[in-house]
Amino acid sequence: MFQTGYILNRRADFLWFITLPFLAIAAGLAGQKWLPITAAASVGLWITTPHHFATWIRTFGFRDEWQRWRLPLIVGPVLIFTAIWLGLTWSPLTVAMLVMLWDHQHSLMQQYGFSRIYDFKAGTGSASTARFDLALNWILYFNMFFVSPYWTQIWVMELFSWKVPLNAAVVQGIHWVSWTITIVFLVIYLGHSIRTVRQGHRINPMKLLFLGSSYFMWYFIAWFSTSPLLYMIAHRIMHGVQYDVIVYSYIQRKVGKTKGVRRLMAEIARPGRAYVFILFGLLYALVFAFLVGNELTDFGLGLLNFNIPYDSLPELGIKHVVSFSKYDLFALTMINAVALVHYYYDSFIWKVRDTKVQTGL
Amino acid sequence: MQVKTSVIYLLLILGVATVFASFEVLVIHEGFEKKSTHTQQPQVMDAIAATYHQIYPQRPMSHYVRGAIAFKQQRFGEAEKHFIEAIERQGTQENMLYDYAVNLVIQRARQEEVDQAIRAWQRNYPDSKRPVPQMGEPPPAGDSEMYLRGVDALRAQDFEVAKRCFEAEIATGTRTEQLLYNYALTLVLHKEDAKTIESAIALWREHFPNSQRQDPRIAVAQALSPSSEP
Repeated sequence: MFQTGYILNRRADFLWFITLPFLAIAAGLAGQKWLPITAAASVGLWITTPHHFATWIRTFGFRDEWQRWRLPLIVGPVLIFTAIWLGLTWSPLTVAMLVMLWDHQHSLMQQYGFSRIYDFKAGTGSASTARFDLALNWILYFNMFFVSPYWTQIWVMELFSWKVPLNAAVVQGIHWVSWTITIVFLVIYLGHSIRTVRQGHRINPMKLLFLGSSYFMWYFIAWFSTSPLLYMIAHRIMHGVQYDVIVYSYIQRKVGKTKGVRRLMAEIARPGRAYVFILFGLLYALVFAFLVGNELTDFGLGLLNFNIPYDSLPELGIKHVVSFSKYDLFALTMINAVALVHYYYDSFIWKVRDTKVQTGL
Repeated sequence: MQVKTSVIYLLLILGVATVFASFEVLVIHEGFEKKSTHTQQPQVMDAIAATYHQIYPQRPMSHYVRGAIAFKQQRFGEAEKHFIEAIERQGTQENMLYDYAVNLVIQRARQEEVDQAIRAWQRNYPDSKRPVPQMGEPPPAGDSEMYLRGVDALRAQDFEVAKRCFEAEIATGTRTEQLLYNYALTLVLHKEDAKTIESAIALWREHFPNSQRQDPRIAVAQALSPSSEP
């Protein structure tokens, strides 16, 4: 019935893919209790920014991948930066919605991708398991988004901003529908798993453990976050670190199987040279921080802020608290557009069914 | 084929975003504003507060929104209670901490209390660009009730009442800089005709030719411009 397969190896998988979400919760809870809110910006700088660097090095570091994906690799950033610059100037609500929704889709697709790698490694699951796993990830993730207190308050505010008429009854109705769909689908997924076994296929228990720990973390923090800190610390640690781990593993394995690899990639892939990969990521984070300056504190916090309804209090010397300069616009464009380019690249460079990608898995 | 699909995927996303952006610019924004002010309208804020409170009465944000509404309606004591509730429930969003401090300053609370609130805000947001909330100059001794009513109305953005109060005070012969400047400022905010504004500014400059204050027309234009330096 079960066939165990690992992405890296037994010990590393338990550390990075099973235990890490619980460690991330602990870090998030400690941060929420003892750290100032700007700690979220620090996590953004030292975890999220280097994980963007991992995308750039994984994408541009291999000649074959650069030649294969040249068109979207060039066109993507040009279109995205232009769209974000214009959007922040003229339609900030659209930018906020785009970034938030794409971020959610990107997060759930990463966990889906890992679950596919688990099946690929163990040779488990039937032909239809990929589709069921995809639906499972979408339904579990968006149920969390629709029904958790943390996210409900955010999407309710967003919809009010879009002039959508809402009240408590409508919101509770959405919660009820979402839970119903989720519970029904979980029963269907269980049925699919039983049928898969009866057909002679096996199930990789590591995949189930991995999905269980990931969604436990997301659901836990979405219910127990009283400020953005818990969510941002825990989510960013899990997402960013797991991404860095798979990219480093991919580079090492691909370098071992590919000829004519660039010198930098060969250097990074040498045994015991993970620190070079980490150092480059941190250096990139420093350069990025220098470029966007203090705006790093807006690393996602702006999205979650609700501005009080006064524009200025002249007697207190308080001016328009939501205004921003051209430099702020540049910095916010950088933060948002770089994130979107990362989401976009990931949408096509990681296809587990792609035989060229399989050489690095 | 995969390359083509990846480009189409991006174009599709940006196309849908463009539809939303057009809708936002044409329908959601108010007039020539570059942002939506919909959630700042009293009835919408009431709807948000009611929705939050019915679903999550214990969440910090539910209390904060109630506090923001009370603040806007100048019920500062009630606002304070809600802001405290939000902060005690571990609410650490900048607006909660900052508005609590602003609210204390406006109420002229004890300095110790104000300092504590400001420290809590600064500890969480050490890089914030918002100015430290503090009363500018203390009102000169002997400010009349009429002038203070005008200042309150100006804070509440009730420019019609502010204008009437300041005019009544000027009619009594008072010529303090604060009064003349605030009168000119009120006329600009009230969008009076250029000639009336010019004459109020001339009165202020006549009595205070060495004033370091900025022309109220420029001050208002800068404060309301989305591209102004904060």
